[in-house]
Amino acid sequence: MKSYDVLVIGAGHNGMAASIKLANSGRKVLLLENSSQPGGMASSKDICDGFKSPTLAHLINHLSSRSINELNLTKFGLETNNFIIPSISINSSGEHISVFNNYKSNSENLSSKDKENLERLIKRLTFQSSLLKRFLFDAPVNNNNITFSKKLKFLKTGLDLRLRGKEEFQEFFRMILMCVADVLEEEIDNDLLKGLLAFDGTLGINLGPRSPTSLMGLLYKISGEFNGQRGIQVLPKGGIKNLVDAFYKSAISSGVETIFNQEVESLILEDNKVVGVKTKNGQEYKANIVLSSVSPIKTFLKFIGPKRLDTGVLRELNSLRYKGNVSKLNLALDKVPTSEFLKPEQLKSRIVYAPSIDHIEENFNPSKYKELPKDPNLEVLFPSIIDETLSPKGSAIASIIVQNTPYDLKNGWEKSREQFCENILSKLELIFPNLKKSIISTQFLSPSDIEDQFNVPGGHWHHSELQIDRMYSLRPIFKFSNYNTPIENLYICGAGTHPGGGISGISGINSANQILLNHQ
Amino acid sequence: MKKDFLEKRSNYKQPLKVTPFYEKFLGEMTEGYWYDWSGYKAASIIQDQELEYFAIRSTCSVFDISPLIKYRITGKDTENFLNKLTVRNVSLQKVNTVQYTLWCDDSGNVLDDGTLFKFNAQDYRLCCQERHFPWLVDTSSGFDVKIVEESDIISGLSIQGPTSAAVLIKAGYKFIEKLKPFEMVQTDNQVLISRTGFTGDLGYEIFLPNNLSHSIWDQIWESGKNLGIKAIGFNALNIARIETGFIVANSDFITSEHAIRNNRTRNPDEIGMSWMVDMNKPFFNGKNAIADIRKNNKNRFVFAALEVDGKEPADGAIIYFNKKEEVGIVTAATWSPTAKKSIALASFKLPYGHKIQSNLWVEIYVLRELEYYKMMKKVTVVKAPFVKLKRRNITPPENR
Repeated sequence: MKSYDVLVIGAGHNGMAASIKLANSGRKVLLLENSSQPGGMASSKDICDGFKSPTLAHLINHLSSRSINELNLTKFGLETNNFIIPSISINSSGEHISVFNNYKSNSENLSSKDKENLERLIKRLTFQSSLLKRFLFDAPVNNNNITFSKKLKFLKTGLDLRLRGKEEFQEFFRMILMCVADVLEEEIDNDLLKGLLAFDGTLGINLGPRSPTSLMGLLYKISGEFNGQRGIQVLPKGGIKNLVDAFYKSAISSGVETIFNQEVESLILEDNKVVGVKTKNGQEYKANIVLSSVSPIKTFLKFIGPKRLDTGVLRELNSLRYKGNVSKLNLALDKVPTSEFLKPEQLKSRIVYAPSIDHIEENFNPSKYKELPKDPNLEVLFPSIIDETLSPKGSAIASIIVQNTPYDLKNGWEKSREQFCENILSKLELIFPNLKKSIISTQFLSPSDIEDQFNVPGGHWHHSELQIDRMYSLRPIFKFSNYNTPIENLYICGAGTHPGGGISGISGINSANQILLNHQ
Repeated sequence: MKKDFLEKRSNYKQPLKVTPFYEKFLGEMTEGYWYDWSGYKAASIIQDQELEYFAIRSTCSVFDISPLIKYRITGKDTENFLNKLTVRNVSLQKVNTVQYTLWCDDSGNVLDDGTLFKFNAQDYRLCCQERHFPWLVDTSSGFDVKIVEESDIISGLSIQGPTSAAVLIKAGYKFIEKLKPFEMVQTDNQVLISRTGFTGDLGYEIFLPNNLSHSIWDQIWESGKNLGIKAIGFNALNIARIETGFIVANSDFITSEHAIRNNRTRNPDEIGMSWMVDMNKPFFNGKNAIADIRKNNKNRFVFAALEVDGKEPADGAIIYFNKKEEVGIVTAATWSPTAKKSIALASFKLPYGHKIQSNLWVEIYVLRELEYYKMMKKVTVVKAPFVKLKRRNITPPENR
């Protein structure tokens, strides 16, 4: 039997990122993936012939130049000039505003006062998020991982904040735990703009705009960048698939061996040390180190199992919140959609339907009681209008993210799915007439479908809630936040670990660094 | 529902509950010293502490152990579950025996100690001082077991002393003469008799359903009349247990759920229970932590038995090295009437009590007619037990 230095479970982008780093350091790496293709939640699949629809993730805004360089993505097919996507916030009567890079706006529908206040607010939030951003590429501090240089970094960050002046210093501590709605209402009048920012702050987590700490979501979004350009959202040339391919090609050329269609069932343990994995079909693979990039829930409770975990740890893991609330609707259209409110050029934007803060909050309310929103908030992207290679000429793909759709619906998804899709389409019809008629294929993925298709318990974007009680040192739990586990030589990475979800590759890189540090 | 609940929990009107044997002990009571044991009214002294102690060592004592917390654990995975919960290897325990054991939290600190009664591989009873239902249930995740708290439906008596076997045989339990220490027998009517106890003497513990409590008390009491039977309180038992070197949770060590301060918790090594910990088991709660502590020599304390010069008991005394440096504390102490010595159990800061065993002193304050006498007494670290009795282990027992 072949034996490897490191076995990585899951060929999502983080699993691939870690594999690349490890293979480049001379380790013999095996990457096991349960599906038939790489990419995990960033993968694409044709919904019908020739329509290359991004199954879940459809935009990139957390891929830093450091990740791109360390993983050699440019060398393996990631273009340097990609599509930068502006955002439009629209309501059902067609009124809209638009913003581009890092929420800059020259929209004529915004008052000059709003523009001024927006600029000031974003500048402040950008500063605040830049402080948090310093810690992205660090293995978080915990009892097993505290060094003088880490302490120094905290001290220096605190100092830099203080040196920014009394006002910024006070504002940071005043704002950091606030809800996004209160912050926006202090500064901005325009409902569409507030709706957009509140939507971005709450998308992907179980918080409404009026839930305390929801500003954190917006800070996380603003901390994003693409290849050095701060606050932009990008559709890579050739679609998300192109980016995933770049990850994969980089991994292959680094010497990573990849096996698809192998679902890991359990770890092989010797005393308290992992020595390999066993797959569902009984195959065994041996390795000195195992790195799991799948959800921590799955790694700990399925691969290791509650019987092998200390009760205290088990209690903490069982308290993780990992039920997703975002659904995805992918459409194949035989005609390019049009809108009387938006110019054709504007259809190349990310179009957000979140007309006001209250509208989002009203949609969040039923989700608390496991019910569906009546008029859900949407993020609509037509990737094939932006990049025409993604669908046959004259046709289009619509990629729609639907917010506040609980995983464990009271009435069950089977009963509600069709009517819910119908509601969404009728709403879209108001903005894009004839859209419904041009549908040739529909794919709807509720959180529970995402759970099944992508093997993520709860179908959560971030594997587990990315709220302030589960960030940095507390992600996924304090004891294991530096990518280690209670089992010797078993490590974790992925969205469930620091810094969280989004296609950044950071947790993969961090965990690989941690492995290299511990096993020189 | 609400009314039922309130009635069931009517102890809010009466601060302490009473055990099924309450009236029987009350009938013997002349002193009126009661204390709170797990929410039950329990006796410290029934008539006379010394006479009660000598009943343990010379005749036959009866102590009410009904307030013990009792869990019944049944199901397919019971043995595996208990192997995860406790530090000892449960698989090595024979059917119809009792095992003294303890269990730890994630950091390897002791949550409690207790006794494990094995009916068969799928049926155990766990007796302990503290309530642990949530911990047991959370630990059982992934195991096919059922955990039921039996504390309020099973009562118990501890019958200890040289004539205890004779009393029980006379009461009709002839089969107990075959019981070796730590063995047990269950009768047809769910009465469980084990050759166990907290005294280091010949003795038995009886667990029974509450409805049998009066008939069985009468049976035993009647049989014991000419064999010196005596109802006793905790104070007498406490002397006997110190003589044997047995420890009590939250008295000789602070259980990890009770400890508020970081350095007050203790791991098994620090309370002299290293021998219990089976590192060859694939896994148990706290194993990783204990392995780490042992590997990196992170033990902070050591538990020791002491003989104290003079005859004053050294309860709660501070232990000094060279009469100056504070190096430990006495957790339990008494004048031992059997060993005829002042004896103590103590917790030392390492390396004192372990590598450094000489030049250790206790500071004892004795109040005599409104004047304190302060004494520095030399202590010697010895090996427990202070009192070792042959009759404890002889099977069949003497004095039948």
